[in-house]
Amino acid sequence: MFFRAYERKKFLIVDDFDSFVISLKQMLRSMGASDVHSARNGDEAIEACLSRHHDVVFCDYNMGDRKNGQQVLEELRHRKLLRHTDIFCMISAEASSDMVFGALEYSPDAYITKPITRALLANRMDKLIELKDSVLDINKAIDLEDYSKAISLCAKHLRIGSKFKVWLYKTQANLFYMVGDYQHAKKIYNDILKGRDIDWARLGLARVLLAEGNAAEAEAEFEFLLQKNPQLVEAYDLKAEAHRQQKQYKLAQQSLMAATAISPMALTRQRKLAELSVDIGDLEQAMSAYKQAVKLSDKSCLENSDTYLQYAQVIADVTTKKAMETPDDPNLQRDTDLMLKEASQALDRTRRRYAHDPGVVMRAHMAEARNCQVAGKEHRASDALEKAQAVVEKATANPEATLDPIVLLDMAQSLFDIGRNEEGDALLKRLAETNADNPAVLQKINELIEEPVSMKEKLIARERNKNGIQAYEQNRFAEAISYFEEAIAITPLQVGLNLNFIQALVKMASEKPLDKRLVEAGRSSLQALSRIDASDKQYKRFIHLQERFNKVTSSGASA
Amino acid sequence: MSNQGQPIDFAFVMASSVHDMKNSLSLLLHSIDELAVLLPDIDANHPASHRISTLQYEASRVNNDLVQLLTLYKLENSVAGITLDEHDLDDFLLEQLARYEPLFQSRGVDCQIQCEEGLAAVFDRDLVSGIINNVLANAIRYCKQTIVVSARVPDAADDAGYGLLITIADDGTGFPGEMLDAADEFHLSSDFRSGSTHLGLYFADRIAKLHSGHSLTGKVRLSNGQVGASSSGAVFELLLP
Repeated sequence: MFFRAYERKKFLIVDDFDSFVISLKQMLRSMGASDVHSARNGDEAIEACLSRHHDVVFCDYNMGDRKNGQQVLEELRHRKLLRHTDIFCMISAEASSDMVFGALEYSPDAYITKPITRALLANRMDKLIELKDSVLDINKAIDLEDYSKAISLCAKHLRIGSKFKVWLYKTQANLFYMVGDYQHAKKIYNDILKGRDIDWARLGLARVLLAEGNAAEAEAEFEFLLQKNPQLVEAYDLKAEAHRQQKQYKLAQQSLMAATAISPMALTRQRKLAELSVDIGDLEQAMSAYKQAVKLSDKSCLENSDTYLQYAQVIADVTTKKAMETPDDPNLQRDTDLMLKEASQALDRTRRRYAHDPGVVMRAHMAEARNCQVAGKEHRASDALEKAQAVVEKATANPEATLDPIVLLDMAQSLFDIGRNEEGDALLKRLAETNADNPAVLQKINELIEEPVSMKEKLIARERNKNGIQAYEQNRFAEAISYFEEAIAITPLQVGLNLNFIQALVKMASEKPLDKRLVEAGRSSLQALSRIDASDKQYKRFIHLQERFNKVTSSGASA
Repeated sequence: MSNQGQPIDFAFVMASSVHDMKNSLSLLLHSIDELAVLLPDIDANHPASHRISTLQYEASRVNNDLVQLLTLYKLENSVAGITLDEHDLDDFLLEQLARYEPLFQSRGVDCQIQCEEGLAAVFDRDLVSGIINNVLANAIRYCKQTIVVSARVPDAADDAGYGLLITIADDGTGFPGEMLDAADEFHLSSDFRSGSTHLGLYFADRIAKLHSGHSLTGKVRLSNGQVGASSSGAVFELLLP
């Protein structure tokens, strides 16, 4: 045992069970450790690591409804409070259900299962310290984000021979992935998998396939892994991405739901689930995922204002939808009030957390106005609107704190949302004057003037879009096309909608030539899409669909 | 008693109870270790030493049963699976023995590892460790003084194709005849006279079978044979593809 190695190291134990902390402390002391601190939960652990650096962190995975061990690790890495040269051991009562072994950044150095005896601990720690000493140069390079150097150091260690071959291959493959050298990453994984079935290599390989755009192949690998181990959260996350790339949004949503069922505490995962649910029009699921995301944002380094604002938006949408669909529900008023309360609390928190950012504060007031309006609280809506306008005036009066025109465009949109079209028009006019030299802003202004639809109409359009997607997925293309057309009649400039329409047209054209009216409708849709910017995330899809549409319509004409 | 209202979420009850019990066991085992250190000079025949050894043994058994219970529950409900990685055998076996270090000392058991350096194999570490822990606990109970744990690539013709053979043998009086007779079929009998023995073997068999590859599945074998001074010690074998 390396008694001296323990003496010099700073230890931190994170566990909500005091007696366990005491007994682990005693064990470490008997092994030579002299500097052992402890924390009772994740937040205390972050505090402890902010106030000083620790070489070794032992962290319990399950700490009740507080942050779990995986979240603590992720936050420590995100805030650069834990170096790769340090040791992070995940402690759990049972074989961990949230095991991470794909991502270099977020994999603990070891999983230790309770009960822990001194002999077991000494055995594990000795080995870990030996490993970390042996690959110190590589981890130092990783900490400096000098990945090329880390890659060549891995190669050097492998060349001169090392006891830690597996670690070296795993790390090198991960580094190749991180720098985008997929060929080399793939070669390592394939070599490892020759004749043997090793999960981390299979997961790694699938991750590379996904990054290369081979979503279908990657999906099959994730399926295979999940068949053997249905608890592999990482594989669900990646499988969702594979589905998303193949435009199988419903399946992507299901995969993320499986992941959140196993491990509900990850903020980014909940946020992804919420966004995806909005995209496919599943407002209820979106609302519950945002609710969880808002809860998890508290004291998280990954908090952002969008989560709160989008939560309020989804609540407004659900409220409007309920009022439209079930106006006679005796609980409608109660449900509406409850949802408004939720939204107001989230927005209140947003204004407090982002008090320094007038753009966010204004958006939160506008959101409040909209949510009050749809809940039938006209007075409160007016109050909120005045507050939003006051923020704008104050910011306009102070030339150094000018508001981003995008924020003001949002405000105009919100004004249309709640039916205050005149005020919206006035604001757009002012904006057009002050941004005469900004073509991007002018274009947005034009779009808003052309399409000043109310929320209710937008919601109907979205519902039709959703019906269209469903019909499309069940190969009922004619039906899908008529749903999309209905939606386009309400929101003619909506990018995703127009793209869906074109896609359905292309698909139908592969069965029989399109009639003249549909070809014309397709062309005007492409016309509406032509203003899409090359930086838009839908741009590639647009170019691709445009090509296919032109191809099928020209060949259809000659047939 | 009728169960009105919501049915309880048994998975949750199980997980939180096990979490709690594991914490307690950690403390229990640690306190016993401390106690053993506080009484350093008494010899192995002293009654206190004997009691400490009993405490250690029983606490280990409770832990093994908990692991079994939870693993079988999860397998049965398809919420657990198998995680395959390559492991160094010497390292793996040393770790399993480390859990029992205090018990070997208090009972005066000599536990040897026979393993070729650098031998590695692919298996689920947690699951196989559950098997080894169980068998070791039994070996500690029934051995005279020696336990031999070995790992190698099997060489018998019958075992062709298998990649790993782990053997745990003790110099006790061996497995009783009826256990050897029933050893081809490890099913859960309603006869629980022999305590957790059957459940343990059922568990081992189940885990072994989860490991498959090269068109073979893992298996468990029991026999009696020459171990140390005993001519018919218990020999447990785990074969993995």
